[in-house]
Amino acid sequence: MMKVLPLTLLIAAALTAGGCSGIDKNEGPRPAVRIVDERAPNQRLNLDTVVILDKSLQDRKSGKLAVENSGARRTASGTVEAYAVIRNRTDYPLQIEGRTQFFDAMGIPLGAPSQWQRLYLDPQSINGYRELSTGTAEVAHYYIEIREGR
Amino acid sequence: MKEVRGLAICSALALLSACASTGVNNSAGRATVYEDVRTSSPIVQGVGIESQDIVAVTDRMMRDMLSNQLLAGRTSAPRVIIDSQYFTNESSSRINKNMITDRLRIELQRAAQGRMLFIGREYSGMVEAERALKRDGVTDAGTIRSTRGTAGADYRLVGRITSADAVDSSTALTSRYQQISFEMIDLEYGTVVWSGLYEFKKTAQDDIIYR
Repeated sequence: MMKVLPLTLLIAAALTAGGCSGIDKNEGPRPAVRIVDERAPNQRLNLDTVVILDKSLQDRKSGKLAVENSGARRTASGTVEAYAVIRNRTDYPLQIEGRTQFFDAMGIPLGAPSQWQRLYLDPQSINGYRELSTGTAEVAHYYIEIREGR
Repeated sequence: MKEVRGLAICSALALLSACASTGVNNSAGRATVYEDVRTSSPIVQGVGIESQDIVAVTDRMMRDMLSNQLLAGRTSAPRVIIDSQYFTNESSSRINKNMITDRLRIELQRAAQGRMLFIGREYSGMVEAERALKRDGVTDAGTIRSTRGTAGADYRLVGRITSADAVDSSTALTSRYQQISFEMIDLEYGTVVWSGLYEFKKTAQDDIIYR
């Protein structure tokens, strides 16, 4: 047990010294990095999914929204229509906004994301969000973002 | 001795727990007068047609038109006129109609990539004047082809902005329901080949001046 004290003191001292050195050896621009950490699996971009941006809406247990269904289909003119069916889990009306970014088969974004589209959800009701791509054959994936209406 | 050991362990744990956070500087950015045109301003917002409405309505109509087979699915691209000539504002909102039709035409042209052809009928006078100079021999013929006539159009965009206001005279609160309708007219047969509607309602103190 007596061995614990010097060890903890050593760790504390090292951490304190590291944090208080005053010199940042990484100062200046650095190459951008992709964050890969198994402890936070949701930080990666998962194509063909619906994501909820606001913390208050996204929690599995207490979140205000549930995404019942989502997908995409090709229209007669060759564009792609992405959709999501969203349910209001609260007893209050909600205003949310959705937008979609379309990607090609290599995961390269095609143009800018669509404009935020406002959706009105009655208490405990569902509403459908739909967005059309502007491109045709090159569209392979979608990525729908949902946030609270502003 | 026991207290010292406890204190050391607590300090080490506290420092270790601090190291476990992401370390992201999760604070607001620097203040600026620029704002995102796609989102309503948190500082000035009223019941009229604002930037986010113009961006939203043109984005929606553009995507809808490109998914219409008659307009964007033909082997020979249709010739279309999109300007504000037959786009009227009958609403109580003050708005320059060209902001809507210009954005719609430009976004559509950029996204269509040849699936639709756009005719600048608004500038036909300018084109005719230049053609006359060329044909009178005042200028040479230029470097691109010459044609007997200018391009005829297949379709033309028409539409209107309308509104219904409800005002609470005691609080000066105004609720404005706005409709922006768009229709594409067949210029030979007169039929409506595509239509789109964008609507919204805003309620606020009517103390914002739109210029």
